[in-house]
Parts: sequence; structure tokens; C-alpha cells
Amino acid sequence: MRIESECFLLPKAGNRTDEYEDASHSSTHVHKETTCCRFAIADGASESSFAELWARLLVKGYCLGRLGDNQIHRSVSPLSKAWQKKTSGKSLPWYAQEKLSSGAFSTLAGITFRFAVDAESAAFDAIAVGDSCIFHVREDTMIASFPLSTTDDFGSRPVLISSNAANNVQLHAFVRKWSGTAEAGDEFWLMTDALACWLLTRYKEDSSVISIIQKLAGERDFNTLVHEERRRPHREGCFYLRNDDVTFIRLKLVKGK
Amino acid sequence: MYSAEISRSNPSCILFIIDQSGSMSDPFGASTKSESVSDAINRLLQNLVIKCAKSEGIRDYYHVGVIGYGAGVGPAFGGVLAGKEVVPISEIADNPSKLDKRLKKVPDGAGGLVDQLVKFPVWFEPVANGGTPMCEAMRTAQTVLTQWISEYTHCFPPVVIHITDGESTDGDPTLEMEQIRALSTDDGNVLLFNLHISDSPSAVELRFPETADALPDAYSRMLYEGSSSLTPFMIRVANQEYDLNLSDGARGFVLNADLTLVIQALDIGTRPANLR
Repeated sequence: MRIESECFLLPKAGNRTDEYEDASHSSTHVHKETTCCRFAIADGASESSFAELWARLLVKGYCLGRLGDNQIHRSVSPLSKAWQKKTSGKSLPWYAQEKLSSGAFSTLAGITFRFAVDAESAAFDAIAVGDSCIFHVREDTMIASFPLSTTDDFGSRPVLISSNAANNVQLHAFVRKWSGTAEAGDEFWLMTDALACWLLTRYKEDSSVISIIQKLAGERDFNTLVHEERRRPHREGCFYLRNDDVTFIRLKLVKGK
Repeated sequence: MYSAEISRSNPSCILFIIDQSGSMSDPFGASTKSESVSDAINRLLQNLVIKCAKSEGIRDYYHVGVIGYGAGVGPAFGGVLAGKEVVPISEIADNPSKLDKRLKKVPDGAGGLVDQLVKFPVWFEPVANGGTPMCEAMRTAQTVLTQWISEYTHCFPPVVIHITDGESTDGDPTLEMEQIRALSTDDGNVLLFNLHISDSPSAVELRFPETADALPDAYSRMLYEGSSSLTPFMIRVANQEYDLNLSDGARGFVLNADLTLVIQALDIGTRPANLR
């Protein structure tokens, strides 16, 4: 068993590339007979500053195995210190100081696979905070959606992981967990909120959207799809794909080494 | 409606109209009405600026104007902003007249609150002078808004926040308020919200009522009737984040209360529920 992975991303239309505030990361560790692969995405909240830095720290922390336990609100503490170290000591105007004291905020969705080289299935466990999602796809069917499963679940005010520990007091109540077994041939799609909401919207209308995504041959195809869907009218003056940073990790479990 | 993206390339407009008339020197609580007005406008501007602050500086999601009325009617900013009708929010952020220091309650990480010394920007000092030409102020606002809308037809419609004790001296402004609410972009009508500072003995703190039943006097009722309904998104934010229990008929009117909710309920992207 092995995992093929690709990551696609695009900043919000109208923003510069350096204003992209999502993050993604992956890692692979082999211990004796078992391979452990981790993948994570995060979406830094627009209404906080230095959110891109915080999102990057979270995905790296997850892929180093530092955020997968039951005490996420405590295990983010070293990451908070790293964020504070990188952002402190700057001479900032009054509004930036005020914003900085609130801390940065970000979603996190991470999944870990464990499998033997010659296995035909893999155990997985996942965590999520906020509205970044993981979809489990088998052939042309979405068999699971985590942590959100309907478009109504998406709002723009989720509880997120903050770099300021004072904002994480209630965080443990908002950490979602998921585990299961995947087969060779299964796919897992990690998507930040705008893209995840788009997928659920399109899937509800027509499940053939699965094959559209499976056929994406590379970055150019992905970019074209995003640009088209951002312009495709949906309802009440909205478009199918909300204009936001988008990040997509596409994973496929494959037989063999 | 009210779904247009607010961004630097598609900004929206917030226009404040503040009562600076002589009657604002009346005592109000521990201070005066004019101090309440200056405190409210400074706090609203502070919230708006912080909302638009990012790592690299301020993003100009909003164009902002302040019209004052009292001895005269016109743009109310002083200093380098004097005479300007509407400016990008970054210009306001960079030009407070002074920075005071105030204590602010912040979460202590253990479920409680602690005092923290923060800088509080001041753009407006209390002013109380002259009559209360509310109708003229509304007509001036209409001119400013019409001009802005002609340049930003596709954008989220302007939000007008009017702060007053309600005692107009140049007539009933009901028609003028109606004319402001009738202005529109492709995304909806202008939203007019009224903050009434009332020293009426029967005036209690009231936020976003659905009827005029509990209002203390004719001034309150006039301002209530002149206020737009809150948008569905604002009602959702009010109920989810401010623990209010508003329904579809809630008006953008508050009596002796804070209007910051209206600023926080403007959607420019992900706002975490645990950001306070």
C-alpha cells in the first residue's frame, strides 16, 4: 500500500499570492513494518492578523504528530509560543497591536493513515476544528464527509484554534474526531471551506462532480475549474464557489509499493 | 440581496451622521449626551478599523464618512481629514487626533476577565453647539451617498449610522430618512440605523426592537420608524454571538445602547466565534 497525493491551491480572486492564508502539509514516517502518513490543511481566519503564520504552524504541528491527542487545546501551547515569538518585537501602529493581542485564528483538518507495506487496507484517524473538511470517496460515491456534511453547516463564524490560549478555553468541545478503515482504491479529499461547501452543493445536484474532480490532471485544470465555478451563478446573486482562498489535497490509496 | 462580497476591489461605504447640537450638552448618566456621542462614534470607528486590520496594514474594505450637524452641517473630521466627505478606512486608521489609554476587559484564559491597558484612538471630542438641523443633515447624507453609489453600483450598499437625541429643529426628518433608505446599489437598499440617546425618565436600554411599543417618546418612535430592518445575516450574528433573540422584523434601532453589533455583523470573511 502507498498513498499518492497532490496539493492544489489558489488565493482569493483579487488578492495577491502572498495574501493566501490557508496552509497544507504532509509527512511520512516508517517505523518497523508500519508506515504512518499524515496530511493536514488549515484556513487562517480573514478577521485575524498573522493568520497565515498560525495556519502553517498548525499543519506542521499536526504532521509532526503533536496535535492528534485528546488535549488539543493544551498541545497547541508550544505552537502559540512560536507564533508569539515570530510576531513580537515589531513596532506596530495601534490597530495592529490591538489585532495582534487578540491572536490569530485558524481551522485545522488532519488525517493520519497507518498501514503495512503489503496491506490492502489502512487504518485512519482524523481530527477537525472549524469548517475545513475531509471527504472519503470510493469509486464514484462520497461515502463520508467530515466534520460537516451539508451546506447548511457552513457559516462564517466557526469556533477556531487561536494562537491566544485565552480564546481556547472552550476549544475541546469543538474538536471533532473520526476514524475508520480505508481500502486500496479509496480517495480522501481535504478541502478548505469554500471548496468543501462547493463540493457538497454540486454533489447534491449531480454526483458526477466526483468524476470531474477525479479527472483533474494538474494545477492548470484545477485553476480553470475554480475560476469557472467562482463565476457560475447559483442563487440569490451568489456563485457556486464562494470567493475565498482554496486548498485541496487529493489522496489516493494504491496497492503496491 | 445583501450578498455582495466586500473587498478592496468591491468596497462598501459606512456613513455616520452625528448630532452635535446644543441640546447634546444636556446631562446624560455620569456625563453628557455629547460625550456619549463622541464615545459611540470613536468606538464604532475603532471597531471598524480593527476589523479591517491585517498583518501588513489596513485593507480598504470600507469608505467612511462622518457628517456632523449642529451649528453647521458637513464633514465632521478634523486635522488632515478636515473637509473630506468619504475616505478609505486606512486614512482614518492613520489619523486619529490622539491616542488615549484605557482599561479593557480581556479573557484571562481561565474563564474570567482581566484588565488590560490598551490604546484608544480618539477622532471626535464632544461638541454641542447650535440647533438640530436633522433634515438638512439627512439631505447632505443623501447627496454623499448618491455620489458614492454612482461609482460603486455593484457593491454592498452603504450603511448609515445616525446618532442623536432625536430633537430635530428643522422639521420632521421622516421623509428624508425614507429617501435615504430608498437609495440602492444592485445588491440592495441603503441600510439606515439609528442610535437614540434619550434622557427621558422612561427610556430603558433597548436593542433592535420589532415594535415601537416600548419606546418612551415621539422622538424614539420617529427614529424607530426611520430605521431599516436588520439583514438576515445581521440577525443571525445577533442571535448567535450576542445572545439576542431577534426575529425577522428586528429594526436597526437602539435606545441608549451600543451599535457595535452592526459593525461586527458586516461580513468580510471568516470571523471566529471565539474572537471577542
